Amino acid sequence: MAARNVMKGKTGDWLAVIGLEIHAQIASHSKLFSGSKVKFMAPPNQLVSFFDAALPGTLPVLNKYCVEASILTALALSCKINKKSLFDRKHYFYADMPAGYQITQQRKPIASNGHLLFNVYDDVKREKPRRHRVNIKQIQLEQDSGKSLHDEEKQQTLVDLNRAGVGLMELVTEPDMSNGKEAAAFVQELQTILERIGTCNGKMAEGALRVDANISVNKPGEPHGVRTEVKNINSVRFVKNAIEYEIRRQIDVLESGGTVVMETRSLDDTGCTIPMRDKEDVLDYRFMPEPNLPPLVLYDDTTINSTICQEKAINVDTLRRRMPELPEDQRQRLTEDYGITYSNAVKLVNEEGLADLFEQLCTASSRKETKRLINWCLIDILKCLHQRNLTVKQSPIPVEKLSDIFSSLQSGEISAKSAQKLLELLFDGDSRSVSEIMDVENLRQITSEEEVLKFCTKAVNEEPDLVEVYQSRNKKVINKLMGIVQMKSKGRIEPQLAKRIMEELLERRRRR
Amino acid sequence: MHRSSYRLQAYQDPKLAKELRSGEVSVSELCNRCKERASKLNSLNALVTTTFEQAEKHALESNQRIQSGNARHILDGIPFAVKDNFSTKGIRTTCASKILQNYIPAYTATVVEKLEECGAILMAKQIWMNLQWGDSGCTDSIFGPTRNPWLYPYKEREVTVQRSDTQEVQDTDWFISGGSSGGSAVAVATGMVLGALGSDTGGSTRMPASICGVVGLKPTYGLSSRHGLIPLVNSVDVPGVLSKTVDDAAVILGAMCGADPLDSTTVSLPDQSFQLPDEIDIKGLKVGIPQEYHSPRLEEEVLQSWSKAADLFENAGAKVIPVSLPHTQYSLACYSVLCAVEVASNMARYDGIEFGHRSQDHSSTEALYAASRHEGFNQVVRGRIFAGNFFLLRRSVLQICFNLMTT
Repeated sequence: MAARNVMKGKTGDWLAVIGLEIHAQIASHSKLFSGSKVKFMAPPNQLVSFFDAALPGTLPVLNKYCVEASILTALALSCKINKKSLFDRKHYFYADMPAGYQITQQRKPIASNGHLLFNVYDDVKREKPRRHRVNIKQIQLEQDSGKSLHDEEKQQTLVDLNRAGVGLMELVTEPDMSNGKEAAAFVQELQTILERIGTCNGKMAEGALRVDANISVNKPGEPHGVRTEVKNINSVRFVKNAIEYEIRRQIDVLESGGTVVMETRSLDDTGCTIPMRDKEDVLDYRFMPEPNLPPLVLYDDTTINSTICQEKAINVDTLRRRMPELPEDQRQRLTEDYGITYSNAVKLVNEEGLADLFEQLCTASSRKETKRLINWCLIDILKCLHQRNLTVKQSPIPVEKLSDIFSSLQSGEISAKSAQKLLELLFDGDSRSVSEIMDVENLRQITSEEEVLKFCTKAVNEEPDLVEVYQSRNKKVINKLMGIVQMKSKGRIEPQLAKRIMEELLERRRRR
Repeated sequence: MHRSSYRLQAYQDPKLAKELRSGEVSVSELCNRCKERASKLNSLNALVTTTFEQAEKHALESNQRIQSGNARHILDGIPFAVKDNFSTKGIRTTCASKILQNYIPAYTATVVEKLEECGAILMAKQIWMNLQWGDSGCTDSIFGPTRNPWLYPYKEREVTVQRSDTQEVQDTDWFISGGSSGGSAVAVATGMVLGALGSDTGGSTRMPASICGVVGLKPTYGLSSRHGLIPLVNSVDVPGVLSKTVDDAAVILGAMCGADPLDSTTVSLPDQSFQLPDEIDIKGLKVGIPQEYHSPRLEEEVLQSWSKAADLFENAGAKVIPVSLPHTQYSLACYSVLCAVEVASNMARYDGIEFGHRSQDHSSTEALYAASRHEGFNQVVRGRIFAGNFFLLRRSVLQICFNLMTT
């Protein structure tokens, strides 16, 4: 059993038990059982096929890409793939579900028995992660429902079926989490993985990833308490806050002598859980095998030749070989190959595309000064991107130009400030070559001592009083003189060099 | 022509296809004859919606093809009809039920499309029992019952059938056509069309065929597409063929069968021509006679027909042997339960929201659903839905069976 966090209550210690049910929208072009398009924010009811509207006589046709996506996801979470899985109908009446039932996988889902190892940061500075493992009970394929909007004023319900029938992967975890932080960290790592393998864009704000949390509390040594379900959490931050709020709420209820009601709760804007209206506690879904879909049979290298329909068959091993490098593997590899800290590797991997950029720049740079490069990536480049609301993929600067800037920085040809200026210009659309900009904008460092001396001499000649102070009382005023030198040279002199030359100059003057 | 009031005027045309090809009869003429027949025999109440205008146009096109030697298929120019549970684009498809009384589908069922692609001419949609549930006499539709053409007092009683929900039938001196594809069987038997599509779940094509004296074929499940066939029991439904002769049935089956990407339960066969040879040789063919079918309550007449058929096979050289189907005794119970279950599920979509009958009671979503469904379904259908939902409850034995099936 993993280390559990103990919470302090008025009457003593408490433990919390949390399990998650996550619905991830499959990033496919068309829906799970019909050919209509999948698109976020399309005008209402524009993406509805006859099957989606449940016109009588229409039948489901399974989307191969959706199956492959769920297999990839299952493999990434170390699940066992069920070579034969079944589809069922789950019945309930609701305006956003035209058929009166949802096609899902209740009896035999496509995958089961997986796990995810991820980092949880208990410290504020996020420097010392601990590894936590959550087991995955199963992954199943199912249809998403449409959307219904309730207009209280006009007393009507508006139904948009664009989302009806979109493919979902439902991931059910075991109750292996003990606080909001662990749950949030799990969701975050899951998002990164799904984005990486391309099966779901993971955007909770768009509803592409929806988290339901099952939460209960109990005193240490006692059995699990009554659990509540908190539905439709739509951000990682709310995962943590909602769960923490609910744990506190349950502890308060129990400590004041009350009982926790098994119910479904939703989230208000402030992160507090509130009971959901119109939600039946125990609904009998009257499950039934879906008669229009034969069992889903998957193959592997040993069985693929036994099928007569090779073009349509799915080979799990082929998908396994297609798996891209998973985030955690990449973090470990970056740490080992480039000697960067794990913490920096985490930051690199967290920003999609940044790790690849870093590796490309490392390869291009002649010296393996990864320390400087990592900082440059994580601070300078990332700052420019975030300021302009761009992702790494959307960066307008080709890798070669970034590489040029970095090598000039490395060689001392330009100062850090100049490098920053170059970045800003290029990010803002300057299409000149790096060399050209350096020339025209006069960004190159002044390295010749003669030149430096000229600037120092000018500064000294302009400020005789400061020189006087330096020579007699206070050596610290040299900084003011340095300031003037930097201003005159537009920051193109390396500070240490400037200081040395200045000191030598002042010494010579003193001796006169 | 015999003037007896109980004698049907049969329409014999075994060489019709040839006549069409040779130009002796034009397609338009043929369709007109069928149309006249349909109008004349309106009192039999076989048809829900006729498509004569469209048929006229198609007849002209078909005739042109045949004249220029470009007939698409044997079926080119042949008038046919389909049961009113096959979706037909732009043509009302009611399922003989109030819930779909004014439903006009936006697409056409695959098998109907296939026949039309061969050049066959759709003449009408046919009556059947209200959503296929009711007694097997085809008397339970909102359009009133269909009458058996063989024993009908045509001359004595020229009555118009009153089409209403309350089923006030003017005349009572008529016999059932069998169901639920009664309308299709009657249309073929009387020559209103030369072939028809019905559907068969538990005998719905074969029974009316038998009662109306035509050929009724239930193809093997998976041979023909169910896309567009408004379902009753998805696991068992098939499109059925009704025709005058076995050869015709084979031709129609050959035209409509085949794997359909829109129906995941269809299969592909290497050879799907279904052409019957002129000389049929069944020497060595093993024909099984299930022992369990000889039930104690079997009628003498039926037993005799059965024996006669077995003898025919034997005399023709086949090997007729007894076989055992030991679970026969449970089949009816299984069928009843599974039917109720699938019906309850398939009827869940009829809520009046996207299509179909919508009630005026808008006090709440639940009320709207309840009222629409209560008004749209007749008592028999509602009863089946209740039974089906009961069987599907979590605590039911059925759920235990479903779970056992997966281990």
